[in-house]
Amino acid sequence: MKGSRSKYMIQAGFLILLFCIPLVTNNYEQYIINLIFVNFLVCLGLAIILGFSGQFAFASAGFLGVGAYTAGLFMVRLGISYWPALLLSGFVTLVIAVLLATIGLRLRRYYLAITTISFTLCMRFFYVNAGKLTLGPSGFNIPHATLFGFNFNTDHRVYYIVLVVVLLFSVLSWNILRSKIGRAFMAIRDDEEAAAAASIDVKKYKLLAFAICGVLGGIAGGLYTQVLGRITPDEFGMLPILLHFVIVVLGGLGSFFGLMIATIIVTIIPELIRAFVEFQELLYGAIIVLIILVAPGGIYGLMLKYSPIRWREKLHGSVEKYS
Amino acid sequence: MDMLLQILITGFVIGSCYSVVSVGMTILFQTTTVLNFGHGECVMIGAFIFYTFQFMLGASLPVAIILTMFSCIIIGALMDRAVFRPIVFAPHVNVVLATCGFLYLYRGLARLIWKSKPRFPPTLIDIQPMDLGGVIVTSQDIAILVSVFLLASFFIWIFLFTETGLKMRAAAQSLRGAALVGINTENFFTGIWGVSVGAGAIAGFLLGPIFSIHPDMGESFLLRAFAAMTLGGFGNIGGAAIGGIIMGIVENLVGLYIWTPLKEVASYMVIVGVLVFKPTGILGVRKF
Repeated sequence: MKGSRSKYMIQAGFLILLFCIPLVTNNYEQYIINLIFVNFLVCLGLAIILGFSGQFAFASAGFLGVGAYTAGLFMVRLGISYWPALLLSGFVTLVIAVLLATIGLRLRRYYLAITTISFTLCMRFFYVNAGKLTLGPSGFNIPHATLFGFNFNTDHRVYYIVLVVVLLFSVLSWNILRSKIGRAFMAIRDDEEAAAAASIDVKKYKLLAFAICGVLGGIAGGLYTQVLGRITPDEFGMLPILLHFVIVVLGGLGSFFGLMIATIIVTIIPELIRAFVEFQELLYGAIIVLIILVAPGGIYGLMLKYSPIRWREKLHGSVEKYS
Repeated sequence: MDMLLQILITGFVIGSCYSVVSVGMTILFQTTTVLNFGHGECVMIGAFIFYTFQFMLGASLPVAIILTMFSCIIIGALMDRAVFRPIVFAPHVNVVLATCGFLYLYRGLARLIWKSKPRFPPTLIDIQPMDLGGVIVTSQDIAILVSVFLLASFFIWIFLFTETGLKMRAAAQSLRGAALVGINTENFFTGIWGVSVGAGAIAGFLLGPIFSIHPDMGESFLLRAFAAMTLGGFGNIGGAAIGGIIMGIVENLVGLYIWTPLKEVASYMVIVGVLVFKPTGILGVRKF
């Protein structure tokens, strides 16, 4: 009883700490922190479909784009306020994800990877060329969200929207992953035939994984509009796909904590080496290759390897490694 | 009618280069089960190395071609020895990520050395465009057709009529079996990596004068090669060759008759269409 109480205390303290972050940051730092939170939500979606349910679906950047464009276009074109637009972006992306899943469920491994990458790039093509609807290749500005007359017009204010929504969906996903659904995902990942033999409805759970990835991506897209203030088609092309993929693998597939650390690292690195913008891609590539060679299990694998033995079981008990 | 014929010929010429790229990817995928997401960047690197040898260092055409092939085969072999050999038993996700790492690495390297601005190398051979009854064939078209024909004959000869080819086919069928009868599969993998990157380089310098070369050119090649592979049945070498040519023709037809920007996404639509309606491709066998 005492143990669980101290656990709640730690959680509450952490929460208060999160709410206090804007007190000590300047605008730029706050913007980066907002970006980290949104990236975390998208990569959580990818981690669920790739790391937990074992499907090679790289559609997270596509879902992010659909969410961002849905929210942005509803606000700009129809003039509705941000909150219903955010909900709509989650809903529309859910529908798109389920439609994509009807194709995706029939495919495995590389076929699925290529199809989902094609989907993402097709959406980007649509944003660029359907200028009458999507305002073309240069993108558009997004109006600020307001709540009862309070205008979320600075990065510090936007942070609270981002924080609340991301916390809500992270806790939701965490609970889903620890429930029957999460265990079914992992069973399918480890051996599809065995899972089917244990009377797990493989198709249903795969569809569910797509749906969760879609909703998380869509909501993150809705938040993205407020964080960036302006969206362009290039935010949702080939490079974001790789970025999300790098984050998930760097974190260690199937690990929640590793994912957080990886998101922070990968989002901050480009900002740190901004001065050497010419070396950015080169460094990025070198880092990826090095990680694969030196720490193939990602941050989670390193934690398992170097943590004291009494922690190891705890870490290992939470989620298993993808193989 | 002339228009259609012209498009068919242009499509065939460009498509034959796509075939070279997708065949390079397919032999690699067949033997090592690595799907190289950085293959488009290998095409780009090949184009740039050729450009450097021929126009910056002033080597003559045959010398430049030989030097380019040599350096690209070395690059491929090094990639295998340094990175892909140690992770040969790693999960698929890690291998895919390593190829993505090379994608970034080469792009960054090219941007650093050759800068971002597109370059337009002159054609390989310099003769007047020919008018064959209303259809115009340029010198680069002829250069591409001749090179691809020579390359294809060379590969077919190696593959079907030499002992090396026999070993290659054995290893592609069953790696363990090949190792058991005494084929050195490790060296074989290195060789395949070299050949794969080398094939990409050939497509790079053949298409350079048509598309212009710049550090971001790899992405479109990658997607076209994927489409060609899917179309021909994944992991089927002959299918990949035919698929490449079909892709070249399809995208030019779509660009002319439907809508020009649609040319860019023709490959994605082909991928999705094939996977929905005939997932085995035109020559493939069902195995997923």
